Amino acid sequence: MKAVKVALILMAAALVVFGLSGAAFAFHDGGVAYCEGCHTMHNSMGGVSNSVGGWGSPGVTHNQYLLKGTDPSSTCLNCHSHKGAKYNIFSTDGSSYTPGGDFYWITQTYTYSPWTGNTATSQAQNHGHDIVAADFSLSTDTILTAAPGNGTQPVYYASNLACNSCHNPHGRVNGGTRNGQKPVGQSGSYGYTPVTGTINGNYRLLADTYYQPGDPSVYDPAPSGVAGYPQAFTYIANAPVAVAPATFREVEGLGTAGISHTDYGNGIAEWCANCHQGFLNNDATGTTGTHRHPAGDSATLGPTIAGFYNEYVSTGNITGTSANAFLPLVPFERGAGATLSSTSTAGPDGTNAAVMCLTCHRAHASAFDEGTRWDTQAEFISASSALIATAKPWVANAPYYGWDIVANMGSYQRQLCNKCHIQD
Amino acid sequence: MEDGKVGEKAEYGRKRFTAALPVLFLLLAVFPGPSRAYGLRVSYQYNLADSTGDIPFSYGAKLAIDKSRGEVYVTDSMQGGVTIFNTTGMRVYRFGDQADLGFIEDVAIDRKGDIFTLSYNDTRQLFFIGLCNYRGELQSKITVSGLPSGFSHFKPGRIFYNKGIIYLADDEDMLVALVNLQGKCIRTYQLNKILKFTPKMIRDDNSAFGFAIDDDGNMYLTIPTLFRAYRITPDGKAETFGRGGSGPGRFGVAAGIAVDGNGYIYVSDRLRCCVLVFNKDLNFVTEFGYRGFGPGSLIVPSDVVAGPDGRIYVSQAGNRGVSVFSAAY
Repeated sequence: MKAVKVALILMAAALVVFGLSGAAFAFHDGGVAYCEGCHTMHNSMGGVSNSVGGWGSPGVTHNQYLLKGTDPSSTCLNCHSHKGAKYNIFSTDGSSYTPGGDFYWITQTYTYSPWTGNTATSQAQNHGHDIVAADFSLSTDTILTAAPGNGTQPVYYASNLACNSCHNPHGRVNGGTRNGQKPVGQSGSYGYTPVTGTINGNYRLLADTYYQPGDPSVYDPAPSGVAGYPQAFTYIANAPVAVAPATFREVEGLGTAGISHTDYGNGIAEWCANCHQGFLNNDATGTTGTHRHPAGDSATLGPTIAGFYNEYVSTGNITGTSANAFLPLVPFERGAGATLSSTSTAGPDGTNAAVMCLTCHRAHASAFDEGTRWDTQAEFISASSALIATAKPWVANAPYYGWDIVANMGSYQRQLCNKCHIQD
Repeated sequence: MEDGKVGEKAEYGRKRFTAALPVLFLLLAVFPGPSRAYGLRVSYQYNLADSTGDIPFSYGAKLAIDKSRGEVYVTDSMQGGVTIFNTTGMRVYRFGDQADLGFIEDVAIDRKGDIFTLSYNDTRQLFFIGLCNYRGELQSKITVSGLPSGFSHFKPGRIFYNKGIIYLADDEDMLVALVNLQGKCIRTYQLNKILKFTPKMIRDDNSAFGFAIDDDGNMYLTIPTLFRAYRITPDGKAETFGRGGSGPGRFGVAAGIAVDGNGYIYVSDRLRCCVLVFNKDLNFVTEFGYRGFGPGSLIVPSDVVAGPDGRIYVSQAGNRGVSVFSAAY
């Protein structure tokens, strides 16, 4: 009996030491992290008021969410701003080659000389989602002051755009345990099999149905002069399905460890439509009169477009095969239920694969206008504005995630729209 | 009589003082006064500036010290180039726009004033060490050779110079290579192994943020996700210090790390917006800064270096530039 007691005590100790220690290895682990990581209970840190010379100063607003950063995005960027890829999404030099892109680009305005011979300017705030992060000098988009194409969804204003506009910092899935969900056991980003009795978190902690960015009870007041400002913006579509590699190398798709990219399943465009509902077009035939490029789960490529994608290697080279056709610069959805793999080199099938918003855009930001994956203003993408901008010569190939376009696709590589349409 | 009373009072006072001594000693031990117990006081001085005012370097600005002259070098990859400041915090020189220097990631300075740049080519896949004169003019390129097979991904982000040896630190992959002035690798460290990472701990996010070298060749680093800082001796023995939390002496997001000539270790905390100071026994001593926009406050402090004259330099976010503090012992 005594031996059993001793064994039980040892097992309990082992559980405490080894079982709980896992929490130290990842902050989110697919769900809500520990509260103290982001919040301060008494508006102080280390016994010093956060308001001393700071939030209490004239013109400086108090943080209404008890966050340790000045605002939600500033809090996130404390951990997620650094050089390189991995879990950094805001570098100081364009080196964060994460799938969503690098918020570095929304700080960079550059001038260049296009083929017209005139000087052109590529505006920083036109390079992606302009999140507001006061601590990092990221301010509100003054050009697009609200999410364009909101359709039937409430308008989401640029002044509220932050990391937590798209990511649920608490990692709840479909309303969380309060809505009857099982506890989140681990990350939902890497295709892991859920642990018994738990569910995986959403891909990249993306928000899903029921999510309201910010606490609606303390939702930001309406900006003066703006009518109909929503008091609670609620998500209507679930988080998308995708699988990311657990290790990002410096060049997406050309890593030294082999091909490595995010593999998309379904739901991307529907999810983006939480804010941009008017841009969602599931009609691949384009007969609905919206005159918008198809994007969505039912916007399947079909055998013809899928065939083009698989043939196309680069301008002038259409010798590709479906087994090796995947191009990380032009990703696509493989469809609901498809087997996803971040190391897959396969191109799309002609039945389930679909075009999505992220086929052409980066979710965070890119070097190019409208956050596109390639420069839509250049005939030959090796002559992209960001590559030839004299003001920032050191960005080199960062706009194309380190891809040397000339070396890999030739000097006369034209727009990557041709991956699906082969008009070059 | 008066003298007698005075004498009695004096004797009584002496007895009371003697009796109170142990209590005073106990009180001092339990409730130490800040300056006396810490032996270190840090005060804000100014920000690095030029003739137009403070320079708003980005949050990623890296700092390096010329120990012989006390000058501080700021490498800001967002703005490009390297800016040099004298001991009064005024900008005196700038270089780094020359194409032959490539993309400068970091710099180190030797006792003579020669500058070693850690430079990358335009694809940022290949690095070299640029040996420059005091004007930042490239004298020669040092190509690193002799790296072991485990260093095939080696992409250093920091460079240090100490007693004829160049230290290259890959903070992302937790690798360190020591090379001589000809670029030949003479020693390497795989920090994951030294710190006894379990397979579960070897993750992308468990990488180093801050890195520093002291005069004895000890290496210092922080790993924010583990809420720890480390000291590693040249023979590969590791000690760890710090723990997570919000109170004094705890790490929120441990970032830059530096060590001064007296052995004090400075660790910037991006989340708590302060700089924590530990003594050479790795015990917490004090901290300074704190979130705010007033003089001496900090917003997301990142890199930190210690000058030979007691000055502590801290880079930060929010266009706040590099703040300079003075440490008095």
